[in-house]
Amino acid sequence: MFGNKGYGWKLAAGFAVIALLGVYASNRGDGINPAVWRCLAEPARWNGTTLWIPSSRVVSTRDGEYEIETAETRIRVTGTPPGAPGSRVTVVGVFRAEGPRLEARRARTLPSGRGIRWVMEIVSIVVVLGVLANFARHFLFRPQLLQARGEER
Amino acid sequence: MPDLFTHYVAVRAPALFVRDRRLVALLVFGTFIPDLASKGLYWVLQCGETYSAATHSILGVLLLSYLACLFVDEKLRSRGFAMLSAGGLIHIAMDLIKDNLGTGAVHPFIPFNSMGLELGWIDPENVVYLIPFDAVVLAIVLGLERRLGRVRQ
Repeated sequence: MFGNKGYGWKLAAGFAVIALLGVYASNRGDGINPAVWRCLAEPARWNGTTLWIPSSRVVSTRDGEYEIETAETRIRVTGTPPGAPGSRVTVVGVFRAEGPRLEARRARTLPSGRGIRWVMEIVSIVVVLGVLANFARHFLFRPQLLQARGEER
Repeated sequence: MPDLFTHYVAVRAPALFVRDRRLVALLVFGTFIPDLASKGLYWVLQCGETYSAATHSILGVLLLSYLACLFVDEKLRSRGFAMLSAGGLIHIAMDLIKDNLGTGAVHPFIPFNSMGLELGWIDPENVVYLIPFDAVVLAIVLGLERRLGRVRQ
């Protein structure tokens, strides 16, 4: 399994299985958490499906309901608005064909500022570059040296 | 995902118990494989998010680790696979701490079951607040490493 015999086949099979796993997850994922535009296009099909909208913007609010926009699609949500119009929110709710609308189960606002998010992204990139540099120091383009060290042990 | 600094710190603690610095490098690299694969699929190959969900499953991690270990010297390959897999599984365990409003931060059992799991300890938008805590843990780990006479990364 870990030898060099049939190396090319092992490599090709590894890539193929991962690609197929991705296709399978993608097909399953459509059913688990379909995009809002798909639900609006086929309301009867997705009636009763639980949706998670990771990021959206509150467009307007009324008593007991509000409208959100996500990926250029708008949908009405029943429940207490988690924030004022213009705020970024995340919502979990059940899609209802009549309306169509979303019955909110949980919702909360997202931080409006991007600054703190950028700090995280920059730290992450620095860490990855550092780890890759260390990894290259140990492995990259030095197979003979690596083998010699292995034999020393 | 939590920021990659948090992932790095999470894998440095178990790395204390690994003497071979090449295996430590693989363990650390392994913890980044799920995110490198999913972000690569999303940003470079423009795949949907559900397609890359498989990269954060147990089977996906094992397959990706197997593929990655094929690029390591044959003598090191089986141990390398174990280290890469351990790193990837630690990554999934760390991702469980996120709060995705109950929809599941990871789907670890794809393709056998698409159930999502999460511990719901921290808002994904607020993981930046873990950085100071991570820095303290990393300082302790590096101190212990020095005391135990382990090779520093």
